Amino acid sequence: MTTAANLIENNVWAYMQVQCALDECSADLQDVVKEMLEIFRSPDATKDEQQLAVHTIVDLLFPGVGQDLVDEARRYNLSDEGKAESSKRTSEEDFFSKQVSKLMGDRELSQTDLAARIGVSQSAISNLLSRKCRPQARTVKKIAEALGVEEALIWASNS
Amino acid sequence: MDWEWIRARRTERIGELRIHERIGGHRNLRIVFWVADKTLTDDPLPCIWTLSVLAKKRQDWTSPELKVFSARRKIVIARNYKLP
Repeated sequence: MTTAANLIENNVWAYMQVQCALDECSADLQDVVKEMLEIFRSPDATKDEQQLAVHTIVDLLFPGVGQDLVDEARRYNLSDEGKAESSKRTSEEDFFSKQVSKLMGDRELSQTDLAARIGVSQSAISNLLSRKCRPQARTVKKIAEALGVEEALIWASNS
Repeated sequence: MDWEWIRARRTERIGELRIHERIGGHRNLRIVFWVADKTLTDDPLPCIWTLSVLAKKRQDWTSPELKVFSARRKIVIARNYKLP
């Protein structure tokens, strides 16, 4: 299996664990998770505020293991593999943001216009362009179609 | 050190303890706490829960920060107390 496929499988495993933990929560606590997600998604939220929201979700869903996860993530981020992955992702997201912004400018499209064309909210576009969120492959495809360009022009994958 | 209730969360009995010393390079450290409502428990002594420890960066708490404090209070209640 390729590294990319491994990465996807690991992410899906992580998602399943989160979903299972969420399903075990009461309705009140599920609402708390939704509130924290709203903070995380808000284009106005600072990194510190997003981090507070994420830590709250981790503590809610995985009591007692929050610090272990944070430590593990830090260890990974500091490893050679983690640094290489981080650098690759940064480069991809930076290229995407610059290219999409330029193409939007060329076409005199606002974030709201582009959002309407691909069926998402303006804040979602804002999050993508400011690199608060990493776009999914299907979103890259939709944006390329909406801008009338090949995907390769907005997403330079190094994998 | 001194403390006060967080005005926007006074009714939820959430307060902040100000630490004036610089610790680990951090200034304006705050311990945000919740004083458990006695109606929730039969404990004879008041119970104070730490909700967050952080360096305050602005004069006032922001709306997301206030929401996080309330959320953490809800989590403590759900885990440790039965609502009446």
